[in-house]
Amino acid sequence: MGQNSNAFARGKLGSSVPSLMLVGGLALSWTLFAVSAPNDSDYEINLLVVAVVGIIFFTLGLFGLAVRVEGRRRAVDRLATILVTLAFFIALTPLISLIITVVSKATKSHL
Amino acid sequence: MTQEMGGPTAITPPARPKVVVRVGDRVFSGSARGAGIFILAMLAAVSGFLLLEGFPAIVADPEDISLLSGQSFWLWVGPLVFGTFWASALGLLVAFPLAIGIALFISHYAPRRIATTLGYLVDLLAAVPSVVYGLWGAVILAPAMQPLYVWLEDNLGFIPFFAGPASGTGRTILTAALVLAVMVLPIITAVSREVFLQTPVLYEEAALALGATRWEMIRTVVLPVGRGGIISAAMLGLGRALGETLAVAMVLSATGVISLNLISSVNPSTIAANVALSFPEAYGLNVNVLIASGLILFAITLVVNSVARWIVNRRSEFSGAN
Repeated sequence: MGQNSNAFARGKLGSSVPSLMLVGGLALSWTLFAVSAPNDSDYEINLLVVAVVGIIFFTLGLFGLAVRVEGRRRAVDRLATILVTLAFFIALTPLISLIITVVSKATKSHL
Repeated sequence: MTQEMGGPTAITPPARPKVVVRVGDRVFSGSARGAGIFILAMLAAVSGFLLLEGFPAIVADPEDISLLSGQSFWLWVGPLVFGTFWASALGLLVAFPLAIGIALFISHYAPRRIATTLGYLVDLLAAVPSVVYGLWGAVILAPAMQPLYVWLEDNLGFIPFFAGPASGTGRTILTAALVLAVMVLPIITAVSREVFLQTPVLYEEAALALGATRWEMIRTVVLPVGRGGIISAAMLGLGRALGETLAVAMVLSATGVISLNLISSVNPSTIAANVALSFPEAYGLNVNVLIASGLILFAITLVVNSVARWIVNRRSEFSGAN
């Protein structure tokens, strides 16, 4: 990135920033959980919790960055976009869970 | 219709014959009217049945009815009414913001080409039978939520809602409310999505042209214009949640208490679930007691749906589409 010479792109986040932030947030969350995990072979990291925390990191991080670079109004717009998109994927989780459950439990011979 | 237009027409047809009532017209108007009368008659029959059969339970001596175990009917039905409202309200509280978000995502955020497909995906949630939701809630969701309840009790136990003791099975009112939320989600989403799509494009473009961001455009145009529709969508969802029987009956481990505690194993039941669970072994006046509680549910649902209709009708004239 660095100093942007394009006058129209100044004061805006690049189009790749959100996806990089998402990857970064998830990685940060995973690292935190992996580091803080007790030294116990039975302990498994709950990937769902990692994802939830990572997405929270991503949302706050992107919002904070956008407030600094783009100003409050655009930052709120980004926040709304994230929340609205999240709502959709949250709604899909029960559907996916349902389908996986029904198929996996029904194809087994016992509950 | 019968007036002839003046003009230099060579052939003036004879005065139009009387409007012929064709068989199709008669069949259609008859069947439409019949359907209308039929639905009213059904409604009257249902409420008449509920009143006739429920009345004996209300006036009978509570000592004669084993289900009531000595307390009056109103004391018995109170926790059920509370549980019905409590579970539905919690479900709506979870489902409503989510549904608005999903509807906005499909109508204003998702790429146009795949938006309709995504809409179908959410509608798919409505196609799942409630018994499957019940199984899913009891077998998957409840055990999955249980550790969270323990955590909530340990860390947020000072809030009355999470006072605990945390249920060991996870079959609490909150789990039931979440299942209800998933069940009402597609209805609220579908209605509000259609409402959002009807926002006048001119207003949206005007907002954007004035420099509004997408979210500001939604906040200043889409949401105000769709307010009536959003409210009615929520009420429709509430109506479904109030009457939902099987999923609640399968998920919730219920005792007849009034309790705000969301995570304990002592939960209020709902009217519909209670009827479903108690009916098979009910006899004599117990049946009447259950029917009387059904009458109350019927009245509640009727009121909720009428209020929704009233709001929609009141709002429709300001919908912005005119």
